[in-house]
Amino acid sequence: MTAHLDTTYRFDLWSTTGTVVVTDPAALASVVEIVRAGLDDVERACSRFRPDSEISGLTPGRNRLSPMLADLVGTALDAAEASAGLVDPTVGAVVQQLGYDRSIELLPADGAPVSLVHQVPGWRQVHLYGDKLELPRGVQLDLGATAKARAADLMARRAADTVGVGVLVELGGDVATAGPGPAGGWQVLVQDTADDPAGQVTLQPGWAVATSSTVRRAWRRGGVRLHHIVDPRTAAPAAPVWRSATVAAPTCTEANTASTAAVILGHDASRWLSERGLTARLVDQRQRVVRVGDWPREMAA
Amino acid sequence: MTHIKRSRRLQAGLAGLSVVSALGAAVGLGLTTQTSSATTASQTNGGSSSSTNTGSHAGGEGNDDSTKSSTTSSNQSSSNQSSPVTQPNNTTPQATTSGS
Repeated sequence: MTAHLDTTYRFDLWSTTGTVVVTDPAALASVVEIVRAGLDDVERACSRFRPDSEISGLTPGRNRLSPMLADLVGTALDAAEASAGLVDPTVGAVVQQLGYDRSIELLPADGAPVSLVHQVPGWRQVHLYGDKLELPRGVQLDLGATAKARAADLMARRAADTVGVGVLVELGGDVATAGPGPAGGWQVLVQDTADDPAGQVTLQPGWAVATSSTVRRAWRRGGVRLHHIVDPRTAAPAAPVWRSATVAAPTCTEANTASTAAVILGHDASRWLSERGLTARLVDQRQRVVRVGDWPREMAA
Repeated sequence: MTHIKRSRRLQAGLAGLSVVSALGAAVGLGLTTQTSSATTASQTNGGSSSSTNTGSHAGGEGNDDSTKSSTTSSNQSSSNQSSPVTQPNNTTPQATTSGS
Protein backbone atom coordinates (compact mmCIF):
# COMPACT_ATOMS: atom_id res chain seq x y z
CA MET A 1 0.00 0.00 0.00
CA THR A 2 1.22 3.44 -0.89
CA ALA A 3 -0.34 6.39 0.84
CA HIS A 4 -0.28 9.39 -1.47
CA LEU A 5 -1.53 12.61 -0.01
CA ASP A 6 -4.31 11.90 2.39
CA THR A 7 -7.17 11.22 0.05
CA THR A 8 -5.51 8.82 -2.37
CA TYR A 9 -4.42 5.19 -2.19
CA ARG A 10 -2.50 3.51 -5.02
CA PHE A 11 -1.89 -0.18 -5.38
CA ASP A 12 -0.90 -2.91 -7.84
CA LEU A 13 -3.33 -5.50 -9.14
CA TRP A 14 -3.93 -7.70 -12.16
CA SER A 15 -0.68 -6.71 -13.93
CA THR A 16 -1.69 -3.09 -13.70
CA THR A 17 -2.38 -0.48 -11.04
CA GLY A 18 -5.35 0.88 -9.20
CA THR A 19 -6.26 4.06 -7.39
CA VAL A 20 -8.83 4.90 -4.75
CA VAL A 21 -9.60 8.56 -4.09
CA VAL A 22 -12.04 9.88 -1.52
CA THR A 23 -13.46 13.30 -0.79
CA ASP A 24 -12.86 12.95 2.95
CA PRO A 25 -9.42 11.86 4.15
CA ALA A 26 -10.91 10.40 7.31
CA ALA A 27 -12.78 7.85 5.17
CA LEU A 28 -9.84 6.62 3.13
CA ALA A 29 -8.97 3.57 5.24
CA SER A 30 -12.57 2.35 5.38
CA VAL A 31 -13.10 2.83 1.67
CA VAL A 32 -9.86 1.07 0.79
CA GLU A 33 -10.84 -1.89 2.95
CA ILE A 34 -14.17 -2.22 1.15
CA VAL A 35 -12.61 -1.88 -2.28
CA ARG A 36 -9.77 -4.33 -1.70
CA ALA A 37 -12.10 -6.96 -0.25
CA GLY A 38 -14.42 -6.62 -3.22
CA LEU A 39 -11.56 -6.88 -5.69
CA ASP A 40 -10.41 -10.08 -4.03
CA ASP A 41 -13.90 -11.48 -4.68
CA VAL A 42 -13.69 -10.42 -8.31
CA GLU A 43 -10.32 -12.06 -8.78
CA ARG A 44 -11.41 -15.32 -7.19
CA ALA A 45 -14.43 -15.32 -9.47
CA CYS A 46 -13.01 -14.50 -12.87
CA SER A 47 -9.23 -14.56 -13.13
CA ARG A 48 -8.40 -16.81 -16.06
CA PHE A 49 -4.78 -16.92 -14.89
CA ARG A 50 -5.61 -18.50 -11.54
CA PRO A 51 -6.27 -22.24 -11.73
CA ASP A 52 -8.29 -22.01 -8.53
CA SER A 53 -10.60 -19.29 -9.80
CA GLU A 54 -14.25 -20.04 -10.31
CA ILE A 55 -14.12 -19.31 -14.04
CA SER A 56 -11.20 -21.71 -14.47
CA GLY A 57 -13.36 -24.44 -13.03
CA LEU A 58 -16.31 -24.01 -15.36
CA THR A 59 -17.25 -27.11 -17.33
CA PRO A 60 -19.39 -27.67 -20.41
CA GLY A 61 -23.04 -27.85 -19.51
CA ARG A 62 -24.76 -26.30 -16.56
CA ASN A 63 -22.73 -24.50 -13.92
CA ARG A 64 -24.01 -22.85 -10.78
CA LEU A 65 -22.25 -19.55 -10.26
CA SER A 66 -21.43 -17.48 -7.23
CA PRO A 67 -23.29 -14.17 -7.06
CA MET A 68 -20.13 -12.35 -8.13
CA LEU A 69 -19.41 -14.48 -11.19
CA ALA A 70 -23.07 -14.46 -12.16
CA ASP A 71 -22.96 -10.67 -12.05
CA LEU A 72 -19.77 -10.50 -14.11
CA VAL A 73 -20.97 -12.98 -16.72
CA GLY A 74 -24.31 -11.22 -16.92
CA THR A 75 -22.54 -7.91 -17.38
CA ALA A 76 -20.42 -9.38 -20.17
CA LEU A 77 -23.51 -10.70 -21.93
CA ASP A 78 -25.23 -7.36 -21.51
CA ALA A 79 -22.22 -5.65 -23.06
CA ALA A 80 -22.29 -8.08 -25.95
CA GLU A 81 -25.93 -7.40 -26.55
CA ALA A 82 -25.55 -3.63 -26.21
CA SER A 83 -22.64 -3.60 -28.67
CA ALA A 84 -24.34 -5.94 -31.15
CA GLY A 85 -21.69 -8.55 -30.49
CA LEU A 86 -18.64 -6.37 -30.90
CA VAL A 87 -17.62 -6.91 -27.29
CA ASP A 88 -17.98 -10.66 -26.92
CA PRO A 89 -16.97 -12.73 -23.87
CA THR A 90 -16.60 -15.93 -25.90
CA VAL A 91 -13.24 -14.87 -27.34
CA GLY A 92 -11.42 -16.82 -24.64
CA ALA A 93 -10.11 -19.63 -26.84
CA VAL A 94 -8.95 -17.20 -29.50
CA VAL A 95 -7.12 -15.03 -26.98
CA GLN A 96 -5.35 -18.12 -25.68
CA GLN A 97 -4.52 -19.25 -29.20
CA LEU A 98 -2.99 -15.86 -29.88
CA GLY A 99 -0.59 -16.54 -27.05
CA TYR A 100 -2.10 -14.49 -24.25
CA ASP A 101 -2.29 -17.42 -21.87
CA ARG A 102 -0.70 -15.97 -18.74
CA SER A 103 -0.25 -12.64 -17.04
CA ILE A 104 1.01 -10.14 -19.58
CA GLU A 105 4.30 -9.52 -17.81
CA LEU A 106 5.10 -13.23 -18.08
CA LEU A 107 4.60 -13.48 -21.84
CA PRO A 108 7.77 -13.97 -23.89
CA ALA A 109 8.56 -11.05 -26.13
CA ASP A 110 8.15 -13.25 -29.20
CA GLY A 111 7.42 -16.86 -30.03
CA ALA A 112 6.29 -19.27 -32.68
CA PRO A 113 3.85 -17.91 -35.25
CA VAL A 114 0.19 -18.48 -34.51
CA SER A 115 -2.24 -19.77 -37.07
CA LEU A 116 -5.76 -18.78 -36.29
CA VAL A 117 -8.10 -21.72 -36.68
CA HIS A 118 -10.68 -20.92 -34.07
CA GLN A 119 -13.75 -18.86 -34.67
CA VAL A 120 -15.45 -16.94 -31.93
CA PRO A 121 -18.50 -19.02 -30.91
CA GLY A 122 -20.55 -15.93 -30.18
CA TRP A 123 -22.20 -14.72 -27.02
CA ARG A 124 -25.60 -16.04 -28.01
CA GLN A 125 -24.29 -19.55 -27.42
CA VAL A 126 -24.03 -18.79 -23.71
CA HIS A 127 -27.12 -18.69 -21.51
CA LEU A 128 -27.40 -17.35 -18.00
CA TYR A 129 -30.49 -18.22 -16.01
CA GLY A 130 -30.13 -16.41 -12.72
CA ASP A 131 -27.08 -18.11 -11.25
CA LYS A 132 -27.19 -21.04 -13.72
CA LEU A 133 -24.80 -20.80 -16.64
CA GLU A 134 -25.20 -23.00 -19.70
CA LEU A 135 -21.79 -23.22 -21.33
CA PRO A 136 -21.45 -25.13 -24.62
CA ARG A 137 -18.49 -27.43 -25.10
CA GLY A 138 -15.45 -25.60 -26.43
CA VAL A 139 -16.56 -22.16 -25.31
CA GLN A 140 -14.08 -20.35 -23.08
CA LEU A 141 -15.17 -17.15 -21.45
CA ASP A 142 -12.84 -14.18 -21.19
CA LEU A 143 -14.37 -11.44 -19.10
CA GLY A 144 -11.34 -9.20 -19.50
CA ALA A 145 -13.21 -6.64 -21.54
CA THR A 146 -15.82 -5.87 -18.90
CA ALA A 147 -14.92 -7.34 -15.51
CA LYS A 148 -12.48 -4.64 -14.49
CA ALA A 149 -14.92 -1.88 -15.42
CA ARG A 150 -17.77 -3.64 -13.65
CA ALA A 151 -15.58 -4.07 -10.60
CA ALA A 152 -14.81 -0.35 -10.58
CA ASP A 153 -18.53 0.44 -10.78
CA LEU A 154 -19.43 -1.99 -8.02
CA MET A 155 -16.69 -0.96 -5.64
CA ALA A 156 -17.15 2.78 -6.08
CA ARG A 157 -20.88 2.47 -5.45
CA ARG A 158 -20.50 0.05 -2.55
CA ALA A 159 -17.90 2.20 -0.81
CA ALA A 160 -19.76 5.46 -1.34
CA ASP A 161 -23.02 4.00 -0.06
CA THR A 162 -21.38 2.36 2.94
CA VAL A 163 -19.13 5.17 4.07
CA GLY A 164 -21.10 8.14 2.80
CA VAL A 165 -18.35 10.01 0.97
CA GLY A 166 -17.44 10.66 -2.63
CA VAL A 167 -15.33 7.85 -4.09
CA LEU A 168 -13.31 7.39 -7.26
CA VAL A 169 -12.09 3.89 -8.09
CA GLU A 170 -9.63 3.47 -10.95
CA LEU A 171 -8.60 -0.03 -12.01
CA GLY A 172 -6.11 -0.22 -14.82
CA GLY A 173 -7.39 3.00 -16.29
CA ASP A 174 -11.10 2.24 -15.86
CA VAL A 175 -12.46 5.06 -13.71
CA ALA A 176 -15.77 4.94 -11.83
CA THR A 177 -17.09 7.52 -9.40
CA ALA A 178 -19.93 7.50 -6.89
CA GLY A 179 -21.27 9.87 -4.31
CA PRO A 180 -20.52 13.57 -4.18
CA GLY A 181 -17.47 14.79 -6.03
CA PRO A 182 -14.74 17.09 -4.80
CA ALA A 183 -15.04 20.80 -5.36
CA GLY A 184 -14.45 21.37 -9.05
CA GLY A 185 -15.14 17.75 -9.99
CA TRP A 186 -12.83 14.76 -10.35
CA GLN A 187 -9.61 15.55 -12.21
CA VAL A 188 -8.60 12.80 -14.61
CA LEU A 189 -5.53 12.61 -16.80
CA VAL A 190 -6.24 10.99 -20.15
CA GLN A 191 -3.10 9.41 -21.51
CA ASP A 192 -2.47 5.88 -22.70
CA THR A 193 1.31 5.62 -22.70
CA ALA A 194 4.03 8.16 -22.01
CA ASP A 195 4.42 8.54 -25.79
CA ASP A 196 0.79 9.47 -26.32
CA PRO A 197 -0.83 12.89 -26.19
CA ALA A 198 -2.02 13.78 -22.71
CA GLY A 199 -5.05 15.78 -21.74
CA GLN A 200 -6.66 16.47 -18.42
CA VAL A 201 -10.40 16.70 -17.96
CA THR A 202 -12.89 17.27 -15.20
CA LEU A 203 -15.15 14.25 -14.80
CA GLN A 204 -18.53 15.07 -13.35
CA PRO A 205 -19.45 13.22 -10.15
CA GLY A 206 -21.33 10.01 -10.80
CA TRP A 207 -19.83 9.54 -14.24
CA ALA A 208 -17.17 7.17 -15.46
CA VAL A 209 -14.47 7.07 -18.10
CA ALA A 210 -12.56 4.18 -19.66
CA THR A 211 -9.81 3.74 -22.21
CA SER A 212 -9.10 0.80 -24.52
CA SER A 213 -5.71 0.52 -26.16
CA THR A 214 -4.06 -1.37 -28.96
CA VAL A 215 -0.65 -0.33 -27.64
CA ARG A 216 -0.74 -1.79 -24.16
CA ARG A 217 -1.03 -5.54 -23.55
CA ALA A 218 0.68 -6.32 -26.83
CA TRP A 219 3.19 -9.04 -27.72
CA ARG A 220 4.70 -10.72 -30.78
CA ARG A 221 4.41 -14.14 -32.33
CA GLY A 222 6.45 -14.98 -35.40
CA GLY A 223 7.51 -11.35 -35.45
CA VAL A 224 3.92 -10.23 -35.85
CA ARG A 225 2.65 -7.75 -33.32
CA LEU A 226 -0.53 -8.85 -31.57
CA HIS A 227 -2.71 -7.20 -28.94
CA HIS A 228 -5.47 -8.29 -26.61
CA ILE A 229 -8.57 -6.73 -28.16
CA VAL A 230 -10.04 -9.39 -30.41
CA ASP A 231 -12.51 -8.58 -33.15
CA PRO A 232 -15.08 -11.37 -32.80
CA ARG A 233 -15.96 -11.06 -36.49
CA THR A 234 -12.46 -12.01 -37.60
CA ALA A 235 -11.15 -13.87 -34.54
CA ALA A 236 -7.99 -11.77 -34.75
CA PRO A 237 -6.71 -8.68 -32.99
CA ALA A 238 -8.63 -5.61 -34.08
CA ALA A 239 -6.92 -3.61 -36.81
CA PRO A 240 -4.95 -0.93 -34.97
CA VAL A 241 -6.60 2.06 -36.57
CA TRP A 242 -6.62 3.72 -33.16
CA ARG A 243 -3.90 3.67 -30.56
CA SER A 244 -6.54 4.24 -27.95
CA ALA A 245 -10.19 5.10 -27.47
CA THR A 246 -11.53 6.85 -24.37
CA VAL A 247 -15.23 7.14 -23.61
CA ALA A 248 -17.19 8.84 -20.81
CA ALA A 249 -20.49 7.30 -19.76
CA PRO A 250 -22.76 7.00 -16.72
CA THR A 251 -21.08 3.73 -15.74
CA CYS A 252 -17.60 2.40 -16.30
CA THR A 253 -19.07 -0.75 -17.82
CA GLU A 254 -20.78 1.30 -20.49
CA ALA A 255 -17.68 3.41 -21.02
CA ASN A 256 -15.44 0.37 -21.40
CA THR A 257 -17.89 -1.44 -23.65
CA ALA A 258 -18.01 1.58 -25.93
CA SER A 259 -14.25 2.16 -25.92
CA THR A 260 -13.60 -1.48 -26.73
CA ALA A 261 -16.20 -1.42 -29.49
CA ALA A 262 -14.61 1.73 -30.87
CA VAL A 263 -11.22 0.04 -31.16
CA ILE A 264 -12.82 -2.92 -32.91
CA LEU A 265 -14.80 -0.73 -35.30
CA GLY A 266 -11.70 1.14 -36.49
CA HIS A 267 -12.64 3.74 -39.06
CA ASP A 268 -16.33 3.50 -38.16
CA ALA A 269 -15.70 4.27 -34.50
CA SER A 270 -16.37 7.99 -34.41
CA ARG A 271 -19.63 7.63 -36.32
CA TRP A 272 -20.75 4.75 -34.07
CA LEU A 273 -19.94 6.70 -30.91
CA SER A 274 -21.53 9.86 -32.18
CA GLU A 275 -24.73 8.10 -33.18
CA ARG A 276 -25.05 6.93 -29.58
CA GLY A 277 -24.55 10.38 -28.16
CA LEU A 278 -21.33 9.35 -26.46
CA THR A 279 -18.53 11.67 -25.48
CA ALA A 280 -15.18 10.25 -26.53
CA ARG A 281 -11.57 10.84 -27.46
CA LEU A 282 -9.74 8.78 -30.06
CA VAL A 283 -6.00 8.80 -30.72
CA ASP A 284 -4.89 7.62 -34.12
CA GLN A 285 -1.61 6.05 -35.18
CA ARG A 286 -0.15 9.47 -35.86
CA GLN A 287 -1.08 10.39 -32.30
CA ARG A 288 -3.68 12.88 -33.45
CA VAL A 289 -6.64 13.37 -31.15
CA VAL A 290 -10.19 13.14 -32.49
CA ARG A 291 -12.87 14.44 -30.17
CA VAL A 292 -16.38 13.01 -30.40
CA GLY A 293 -19.47 14.65 -28.92
CA ASP A 294 -18.74 17.11 -26.17
CA TRP A 295 -15.21 16.01 -25.39
CA PRO A 296 -13.39 19.24 -24.48
CA ARG A 297 -10.43 20.63 -26.31
CA GLU A 298 -7.12 19.44 -24.99
CA MET A 299 -5.18 21.41 -22.46
CA ALA A 300 -1.67 20.49 -21.57
CA ALA A 301 -1.69 18.06 -18.69
CA MET B 1 -33.57 -16.17 -22.63
CA THR B 2 -32.89 -15.14 -19.12
CA HIS B 3 -29.85 -13.11 -19.89
CA ILE B 4 -31.76 -11.03 -22.34
CA LYS B 5 -34.47 -10.37 -19.78
CA ARG B 6 -31.77 -9.50 -17.31
CA SER B 7 -30.16 -7.29 -19.83
CA ARG B 8 -33.36 -5.41 -20.41
CA ARG B 9 -33.68 -4.83 -16.70
CA LEU B 10 -30.22 -3.35 -16.74
CA GLN B 11 -30.63 -1.27 -19.83
CA ALA B 12 -31.35 1.82 -17.76
CA GLY B 13 -27.79 1.61 -16.57
CA LEU B 14 -25.99 -0.08 -19.36
CA ALA B 15 -27.11 0.82 -22.80
CA GLY B 16 -29.84 0.34 -25.26
CA LEU B 17 -32.40 2.94 -24.65
CA SER B 18 -30.98 6.34 -24.14
CA VAL B 19 -30.08 6.98 -20.57
CA VAL B 20 -30.87 10.37 -19.21
CA SER B 21 -28.32 11.14 -16.59
CA ALA B 22 -28.65 13.34 -13.61
CA LEU B 23 -26.88 15.94 -15.66
CA GLY B 24 -29.42 15.76 -18.40
CA ALA B 25 -27.13 14.45 -21.08
CA ALA B 26 -28.56 11.59 -23.08
CA VAL B 27 -26.25 8.76 -23.97
CA GLY B 28 -26.63 5.18 -25.03
CA LEU B 29 -24.73 2.30 -26.48
CA GLY B 30 -27.49 0.95 -28.65
CA LEU B 31 -29.77 -2.03 -28.31
CA THR B 32 -29.14 -5.15 -30.30
CA THR B 33 -32.23 -4.14 -32.18
CA GLN B 34 -30.14 -1.34 -33.57
CA THR B 35 -28.29 -2.94 -36.41
CA SER B 36 -25.94 -0.25 -37.50
CA SER B 37 -22.86 -1.27 -35.61
CA ALA B 38 -21.52 -4.70 -36.43
CA THR B 39 -23.08 -4.97 -39.83
CA THR B 40 -21.80 -1.70 -41.15
CA ALA B 41 -18.31 -1.84 -39.78
CA SER B 42 -16.49 -2.86 -42.90
CA GLN B 43 -13.36 -0.79 -42.92
CA THR B 44 -11.33 -2.13 -40.08
CA ASN B 45 -8.78 -3.91 -42.21
CA GLY B 46 -5.42 -2.66 -43.10
CA GLY B 47 -4.39 -0.86 -39.96
CA SER B 48 -3.68 2.32 -41.78
CA SER B 49 -1.93 4.98 -39.87
CA SER B 50 -4.61 7.56 -40.33
CA SER B 51 -8.34 7.37 -40.53
CA THR B 52 -10.09 9.27 -43.24
CA ASN B 53 -12.08 11.33 -40.83
CA THR B 54 -9.01 12.69 -39.14
CA GLY B 55 -7.25 13.85 -42.24
CA SER B 56 -8.44 17.40 -42.10
CA HIS B 57 -7.48 18.04 -38.55
CA ALA B 58 -4.49 20.27 -38.38
CA GLY B 59 -2.38 20.57 -35.32
CA GLY B 60 -2.97 17.09 -34.08
CA GLU B 61 -6.41 17.58 -32.66
CA GLY B 62 -9.89 18.10 -33.92
CA ASN B 63 -13.52 17.44 -33.40
CA ASP B 64 -14.96 14.89 -35.72
CA ASP B 65 -17.27 17.19 -37.60
CA SER B 66 -17.89 14.60 -40.26
CA THR B 67 -19.79 12.55 -37.76
CA LYS B 68 -21.11 15.31 -35.61
CA SER B 69 -23.08 16.66 -38.52
CA SER B 70 -25.22 13.55 -38.45
CA THR B 71 -26.06 13.71 -34.78
CA THR B 72 -29.44 15.29 -35.01
CA SER B 73 -31.50 12.70 -33.17
CA SER B 74 -33.03 13.63 -29.86
CA ASN B 75 -30.92 10.86 -28.38
CA GLN B 76 -27.75 12.76 -29.03
CA SER B 77 -25.95 14.86 -26.52
CA SER B 78 -26.32 18.52 -27.18
CA SER B 79 -23.92 21.34 -26.72
CA ASN B 80 -26.61 22.94 -24.57
CA GLN B 81 -26.45 20.08 -22.11
CA SER B 82 -23.84 19.46 -19.48
CA SER B 83 -21.04 17.21 -20.65
CA PRO B 84 -19.71 14.41 -18.48
CA VAL B 85 -16.23 15.73 -19.13
CA THR B 86 -15.22 19.38 -19.22
CA GLN B 87 -12.09 21.44 -19.13
CA PRO B 88 -9.86 20.72 -16.13
CA ASN B 89 -9.68 23.06 -13.19
CA ASN B 90 -5.90 23.19 -13.31
CA THR B 91 -5.25 21.10 -10.24
CA THR B 92 -3.20 17.93 -10.16
CA PRO B 93 -5.02 14.96 -11.70
CA GLN B 94 -6.33 12.49 -9.16
CA ALA B 95 -6.42 9.49 -11.49
CA THR B 96 -5.41 8.48 -14.97
CA THR B 97 -7.41 6.67 -17.63
CA SER B 98 -5.34 4.56 -19.96
CA GLY B 99 -5.55 1.20 -21.60
CA SER B 100 -4.42 -1.74 -19.55
